[in-house]
Amino acid sequence: PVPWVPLGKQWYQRRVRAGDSSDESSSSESEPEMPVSRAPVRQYTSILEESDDEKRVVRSSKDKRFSEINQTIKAIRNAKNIKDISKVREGYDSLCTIYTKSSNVIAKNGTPKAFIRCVADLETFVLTLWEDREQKSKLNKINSKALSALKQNVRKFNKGFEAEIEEYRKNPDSYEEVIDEEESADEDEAEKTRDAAKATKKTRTSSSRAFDDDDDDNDDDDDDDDDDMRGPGMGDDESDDSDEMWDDSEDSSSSDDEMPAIGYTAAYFLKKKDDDKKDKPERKKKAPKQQARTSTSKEEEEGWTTVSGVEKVAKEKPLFEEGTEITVDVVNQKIAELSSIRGRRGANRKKNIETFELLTETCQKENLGTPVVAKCLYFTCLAIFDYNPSMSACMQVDIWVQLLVTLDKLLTLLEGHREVHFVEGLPDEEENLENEEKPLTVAGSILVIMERTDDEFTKLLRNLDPHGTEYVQRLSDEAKLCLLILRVKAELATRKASNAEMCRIYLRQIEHLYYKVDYAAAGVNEEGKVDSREKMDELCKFIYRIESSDHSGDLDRIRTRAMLCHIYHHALHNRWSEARDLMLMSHLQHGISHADIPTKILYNRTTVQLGLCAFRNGYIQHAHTTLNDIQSSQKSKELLAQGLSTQRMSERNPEQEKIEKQRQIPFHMHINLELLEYSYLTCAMLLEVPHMAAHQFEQRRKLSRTFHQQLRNADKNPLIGPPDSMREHLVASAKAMMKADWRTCADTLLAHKIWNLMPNAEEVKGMLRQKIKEESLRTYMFTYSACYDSISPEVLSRMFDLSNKQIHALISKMILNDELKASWDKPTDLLILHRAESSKLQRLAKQTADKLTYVMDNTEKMLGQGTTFTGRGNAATGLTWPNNIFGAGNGTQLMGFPMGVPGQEQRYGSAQNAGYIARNRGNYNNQGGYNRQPYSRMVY
Amino acid sequence: LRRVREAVVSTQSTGITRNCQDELDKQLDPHVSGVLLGLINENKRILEVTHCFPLMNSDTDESMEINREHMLEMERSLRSVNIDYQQVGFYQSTYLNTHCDRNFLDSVFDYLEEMNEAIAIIYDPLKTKLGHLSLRAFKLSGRAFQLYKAEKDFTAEMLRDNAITFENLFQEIPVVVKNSSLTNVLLCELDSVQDSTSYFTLPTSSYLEKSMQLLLGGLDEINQDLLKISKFQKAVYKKQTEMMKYIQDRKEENDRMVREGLKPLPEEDVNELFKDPAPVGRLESLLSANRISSHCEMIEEHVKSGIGKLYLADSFMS
Repeated sequence: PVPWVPLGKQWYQRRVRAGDSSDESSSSESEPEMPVSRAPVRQYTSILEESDDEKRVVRSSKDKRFSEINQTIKAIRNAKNIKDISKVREGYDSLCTIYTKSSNVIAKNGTPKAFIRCVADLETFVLTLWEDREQKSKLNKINSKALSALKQNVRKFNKGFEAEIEEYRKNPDSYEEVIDEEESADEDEAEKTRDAAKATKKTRTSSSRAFDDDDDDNDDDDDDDDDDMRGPGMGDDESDDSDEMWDDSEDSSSSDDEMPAIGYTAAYFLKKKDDDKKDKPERKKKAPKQQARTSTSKEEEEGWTTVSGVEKVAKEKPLFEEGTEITVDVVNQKIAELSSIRGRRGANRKKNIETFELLTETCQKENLGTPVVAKCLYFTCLAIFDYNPSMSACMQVDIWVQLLVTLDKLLTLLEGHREVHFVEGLPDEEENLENEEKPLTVAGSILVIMERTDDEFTKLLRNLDPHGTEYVQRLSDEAKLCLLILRVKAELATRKASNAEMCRIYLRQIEHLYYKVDYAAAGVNEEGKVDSREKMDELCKFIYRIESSDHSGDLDRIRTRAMLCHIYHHALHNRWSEARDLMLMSHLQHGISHADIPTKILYNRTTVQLGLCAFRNGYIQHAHTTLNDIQSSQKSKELLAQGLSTQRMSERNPEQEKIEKQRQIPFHMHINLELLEYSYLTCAMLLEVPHMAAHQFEQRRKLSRTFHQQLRNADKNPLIGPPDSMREHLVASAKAMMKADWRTCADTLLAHKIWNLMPNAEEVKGMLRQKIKEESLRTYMFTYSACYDSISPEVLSRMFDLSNKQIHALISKMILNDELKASWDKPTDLLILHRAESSKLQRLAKQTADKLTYVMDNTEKMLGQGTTFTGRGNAATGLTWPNNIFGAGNGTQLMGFPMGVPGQEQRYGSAQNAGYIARNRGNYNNQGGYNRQPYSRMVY
Repeated sequence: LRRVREAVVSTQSTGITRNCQDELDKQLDPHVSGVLLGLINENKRILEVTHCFPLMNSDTDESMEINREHMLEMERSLRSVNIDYQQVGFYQSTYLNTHCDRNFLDSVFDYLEEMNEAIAIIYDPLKTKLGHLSLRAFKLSGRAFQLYKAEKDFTAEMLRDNAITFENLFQEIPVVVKNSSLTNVLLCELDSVQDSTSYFTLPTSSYLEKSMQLLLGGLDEINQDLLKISKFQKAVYKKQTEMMKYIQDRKEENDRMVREGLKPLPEEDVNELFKDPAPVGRLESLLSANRISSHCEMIEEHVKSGIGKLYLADSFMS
């Protein structure tokens, strides 16, 4: 026996080559009945010893060329069938280039007959088409052009093969015959064993017959297999594998891209070897397996059914030898054996699941005891998880259903038998499956399985179209899943699981609960429903209460997540103060930057929900600050893991995109981004418009860049129609608010139907209307107070539909905050406005003074830097100037502007003059109220 | 080198003001320009401007071409009627002294290159409307001219070596306006009928506001320039430290190699490895400084009279 060393590509190549060489020696077309059941392993061992590298090179290049030719021929034929002349021409051109490229190969092996046949057929095809006027006129321009070009080319090229073509014309049967033979051989293959099939195929390639038909079939099969992955039984997968193998060998034996396929085969044979070792005499089992493998083409459907019949027989007995007494040990051994091939590539995953199920059945039948059955079920689950080769791919629906059923069975079993325990990390030897005296233990953890199932569920939803019916169907599974989680929780509780484990299962429960709106709490009273708030409190408090004694990061993470979920839940149900308090008391925001990404996403979600909650409750300022971060980043989609926004600047690479996609949150948990943006912009509008009005003349600090961006975008629009989109609504209402036209503002803003998505839409709308009135009043006062000497609050009250009291409160607040220069005149009940605004000139002078300070600061800073340069005493290039330019003497002058003392004095002189005049003018006009000395600060 | 002491502008025949005013009335663009014709009195070192004619605003190549043809045509016509046809410079209208920019500098330079004595006359229509005829003649100072001839943008060193500041970039030449006798008579008559109360009106604030705004703009430019310079300083500093580090590393490496008995790496030219950052051009800031100073002057001048009046009024009231 040969030691089973790592089987990489090299081994694989050798095998292929070896197959060739051995077949070559025995031109084996005539012996399709090659030993059916010769163990492949043995064959390879003999082959491994041979090594003729040179030959291999030749052969592989030949194979490569020929398969290229065949592919092109196939393409031509297809194009010919649909009369796509330009395609035909393309194919023909590439055929010619390939032919010339592979001329040395052809010189050795002779022109492939398929090639001759194709060329000859093409010629006839072109000529007939050319003659057929009617047909020709039907062709479109491109095609007719291609036809004439093709005709010329064909004539030129075919001159080289006149003899062969002549021969073919004379005796087309000899060429056809070959193909027929191939086809019949193909059919025969169904009955032949796999090895034999390989032999024939290989021979065919080596003898360079026209094997294009055969190739065709193979390809078709491949497609079929890929299409109905679910349909086929175990055999199909196998045949798929073998097909891939063959394709591979025919294409190129040295391309790196084919690695996976090679891996397949390696593992495949590995497994086979296991089988061999285990039950050498077991012909019964092997034979049907191989038969199943051979089924390749559609016509063999019937053959397949008979095979499956055999398989059923095989299914019942393959696990154990006939007559073997099925004991716990045997089952254990079997499980170990099957699980040893877990995760290997090429292991038939589908079959594994079935085997485990079968095993479970057998165990149940044989009454081997609950622990064994539980173990079998457990491994079935694992096999199901293994079904997907990659972590990112989602489960197929039927597998998913199967998983739920299996899990359900497992839990039912456990609920019935409290004495059975799953112990995580238990070595296999210490398992106790039989001994009733000691506690029955099984290695494994139902918690892990549960968590995995939950993850798979998320993955499944993520990959479904959220608008399809299937999504809803799957979503209905959530109830089942939640129930399962509950049961697992109960199980864990009875089995006295550790705190950490309990926390994990609690967290799972929380995560299925936190994002759901509790309509019972929101007013729609349904009887018999537990208030989700209490439930949430209970669940979270359980986790909070667990003292993380060992300060494990895992428990911290669970607590963080639970807390975030709790806050989210509060926020979702409009419990602003609770949510805010919890958020602030938890100090989550300090540690969150160290958290893992899913937790960060949850944090973002929670923050956003908190912001929305603040908004609904009318805390505009809070809502604005909370939402500002997420909205100003322009990456809200990524931050909330709700899809990928289109990036203009840099294309993310596919790898990153894949990772991001894996983080996505299922659709039903999404926060409506439109609503989020609209809420944010509304907040911004309510804050920014009065702010803008108050600071008309100053270079104002912008509260919200996004809002200003919207305004600017709207200004660019040449034609302003009635608002349609969300942003247009917003801009239109902002414009109305700037004119203090609160009615239009509120009507436009609230007209958008997106508000209906808010749980308590009417309340929110009412709140917004009130806010708009107030802010419009403020805007009005800022903008137009200069036009009044005095104003009656009653007028304002009428204008803004606010009560006298509210007006009084608002305006008093403005006066207090020094925003409005006015006072209440009680006897007349009027608001007396004071003129205190500085004139434009004064403002300009002030600005000039500010700018000058700035210039001076900058210059001084630079001078300081200049001296540090000289301090280093460096005479290197480029360094001489700062020193000299800023140094004493003529330095200031050399700056190129009057920054020296005289210049400044001069300018200050004028600025002061200006100020003086302005002030005096103010006095002249005698409008009073000049209590401020705006230039008193201008001392330099 | 002949120096022009003063420029004598005879209003009768030149009519710069008339030309400008007409043009300004006609078009919205506040910039009007034209060619000055005259002669040079070498003995008295006087440049006499006797005639002028307007040109199109030459923004495009096309209008440049038209201008050139027009100039030739004018020259021919003037010669035929025996009027001075020697070009002695150009005139240009200004809006609150904003004329001093790169274009202006280029034009002045071009004229000077052709002719040593050429001048540029700046006419301020706004000021004239307020009652002060404003005609100022400028030329590039000799040093600035030489420097600009050599280099189109100034570095700090060049400015330092030539002692050029914003103040002496341009050289102002006193203008003497020479009226015809008839005009003088008219002026005398007008003087007698002048309303004496108008003396007390205060200078308008809109004029001041505009000047202040322009001043602010100038300050912004200066600020930006300062930022550029500080950026440059940082770049120089960075380069310097990097260079030092490189030299240090190379030295250590070489020491080690020598210790190990290997051949040391060749000393490379460090200056080639580390490029100097591009120095900041000073010309623009020179010009904006020039503008700022003229704005300041303007404001000062404008306000001066007002202050006096205010003091007067103040003392009367108290």
